[in-house]
Amino acid sequence: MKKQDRDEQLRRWLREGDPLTDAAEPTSATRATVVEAARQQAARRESPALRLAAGGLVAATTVFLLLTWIALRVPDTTTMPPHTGEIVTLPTDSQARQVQFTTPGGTRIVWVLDPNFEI
Amino acid sequence: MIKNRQVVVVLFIVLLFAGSWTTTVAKDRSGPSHLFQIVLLVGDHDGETELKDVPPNVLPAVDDVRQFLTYKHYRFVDSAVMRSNGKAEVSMTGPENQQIDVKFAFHLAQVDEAGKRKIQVRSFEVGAIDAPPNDQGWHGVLETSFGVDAGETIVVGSSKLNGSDRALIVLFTAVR
Repeated sequence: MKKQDRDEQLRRWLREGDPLTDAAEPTSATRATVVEAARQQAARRESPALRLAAGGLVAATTVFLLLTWIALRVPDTTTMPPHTGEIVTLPTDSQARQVQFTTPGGTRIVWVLDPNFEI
Repeated sequence: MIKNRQVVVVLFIVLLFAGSWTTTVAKDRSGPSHLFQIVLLVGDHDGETELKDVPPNVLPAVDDVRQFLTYKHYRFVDSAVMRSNGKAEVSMTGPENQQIDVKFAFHLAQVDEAGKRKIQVRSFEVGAIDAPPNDQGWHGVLETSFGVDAGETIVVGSSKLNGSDRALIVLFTAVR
């Protein structure tokens, strides 16, 4: 079968299977309405403002979730001083010296030795 | 053009809201409030020991201190209890009736393996304002940072280098 014949046969099948074959042709007013509706829908779909708004909303949501995740995941970087009972000398910003020790009874003491101490 | 401006404004508001909400979440992570007790003692080589007003819960710590430090006498000066969720400051009465200010910041660290809540105390400062006519303004007496367990009493003290004269002793308890 030639390609032309095959195409013609296909068109015939399509016409026979089309339930609206015998329907009346749409009026020009109906056509105009349909065309206008399609045009408006396309305009809405392609509105740059809407596209920007959608993208912005996604970006804002991403930033929001990222900030929340960071806030909840920030590690606790502060370290606890040693709790060993050994004397630990810690630097201070003045002439004062600081030592930490633990009594035999288990009480921890933080002592600041300050030549300028006055009370 | 107007629509674009509106979108930018909306985005700005959304980001502003997100930022403030995140900040709120971060602040909330400072955790619930905690109760602290502060007891002031003076260690001295002269005078008498007066400890009858010391709160019972810190008596074991006072006994430890008396056995460990070299001062002959210990005198109760003042005590205070405060609740805070981040920063605390309290004015107390010193050994010479001067004003003693104790201030510190803290945060609740993670619970350790034994189930104890760790508290990190930072910028723990004790300062004094002498009573008139010797009032020469606020001066710092000691400043330090330390970690403490919930329920623990830690002793923070200060003296001259050779341990002469007297010492200010602060019993700091992180009450439950």
